[in-house]
Amino acid sequence: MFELKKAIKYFDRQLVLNSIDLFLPRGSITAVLGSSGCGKTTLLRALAGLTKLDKGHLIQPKEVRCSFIFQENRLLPWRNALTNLTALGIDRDRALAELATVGLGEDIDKLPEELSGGMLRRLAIARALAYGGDVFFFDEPLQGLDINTSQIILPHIKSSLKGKTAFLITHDPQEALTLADRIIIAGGPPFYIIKDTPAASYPDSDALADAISTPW
Amino acid sequence: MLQKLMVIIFWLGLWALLYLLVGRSILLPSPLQTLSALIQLSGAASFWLAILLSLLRVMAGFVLGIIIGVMLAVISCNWRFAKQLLSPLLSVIKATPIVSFILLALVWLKIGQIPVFTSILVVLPIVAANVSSGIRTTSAQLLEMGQAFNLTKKTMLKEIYLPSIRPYFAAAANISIGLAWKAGIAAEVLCTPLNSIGRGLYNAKIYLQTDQLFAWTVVMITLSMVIEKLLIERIIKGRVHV
Repeated sequence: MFELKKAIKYFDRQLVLNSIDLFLPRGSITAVLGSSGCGKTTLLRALAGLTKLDKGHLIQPKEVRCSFIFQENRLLPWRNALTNLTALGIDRDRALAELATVGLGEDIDKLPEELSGGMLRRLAIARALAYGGDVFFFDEPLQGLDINTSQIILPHIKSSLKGKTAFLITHDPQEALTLADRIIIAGGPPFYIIKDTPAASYPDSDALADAISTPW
Repeated sequence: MLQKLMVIIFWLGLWALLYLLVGRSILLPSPLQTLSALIQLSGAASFWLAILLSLLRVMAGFVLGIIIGVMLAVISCNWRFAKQLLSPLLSVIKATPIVSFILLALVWLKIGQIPVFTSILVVLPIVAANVSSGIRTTSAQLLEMGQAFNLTKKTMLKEIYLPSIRPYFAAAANISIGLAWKAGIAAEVLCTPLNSIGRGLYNAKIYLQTDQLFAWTVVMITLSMVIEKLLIERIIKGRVHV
């Protein structure tokens, strides 16, 4: 569905993507795990068409609806929790239902500055899920949430992604195995793929954690 | 409230004391003399007409200055060449003494247009510079978010650009309304159009009616404060959507 062909991208003269080939098939959920600063986020932005490649191609379908959770929350500071969603054209009832699901039902009229870090993250998650679409790009979606909250939100994200195409960046093996059917272990910069296997090749999250710490 | 009253009484008292020390109302009229001059002036219809027309001229200049300033800001933020082209013009306008413009305008324009023109020139560079800053400091992350969620140009403008620019715009409007008012009246004093506060000031000066000079000044200060209250606070609170 989305495909990068020989993608090359520099940032401030540093090579981040060095001739990367990557294909995201329709209906697959791909998780990328790798050390901080290896170029994962740049790869996501390249796949989503948010950054111009210096060389190479991005093949993406026309008329596809994409939804995002960025590494930063990127909420509108002048909009409350509810209108942060409706400002993007999300239906009001849909927004209210999603906010209730992530536990912000009582806080719909609060501005971002009145919400805690974890609540802001849940708001960003609610925005992405309520916006919906065919393809989801998630950059460390559960970052900054405590374990209890993660345990509630993770299954919700999983059910929202059913049948969709998704590209997920994470540091958490359990999150990767819960959500994804394909696991990419990466290094860099410049970004390179160490292992690209089905999620089923890891029996549990410990096995994946081992594979990350000693990838070769 | 009581404290405010005390402050006002203190300064009026100081004014009265200075009057007693100077002892000549042609140099410094007392607060009471100023008040009685004000009452005398306000009995004439021409007084109110002068206020109305002066207000209209300055507000016309203020509004036109804002419109042109915003347009220049938008153009210079979208085209680098336009920015290079416009920046010396704005620097020159900012650095030129306002009197030079007024005197030039006396040669170029009709009398009634001069205060408008002067106010435009005061407002324009301030609005252009501030709105440019507002546009340029709009969060790149939010803009990318808007692009990613495929927002229309109109939604991007309404939800991201305008709220980012608003505080810069409000600051510019706040500063420039007072300056436009002063510059507009200064222009009126030099070109003395019929029915204008400037003409009232000018006449008071040549006939050495210092009490009337003070009365007109009180009128200007009051109007300036009223305009600021009515307009600027609305922009800051976001009730005027711009």
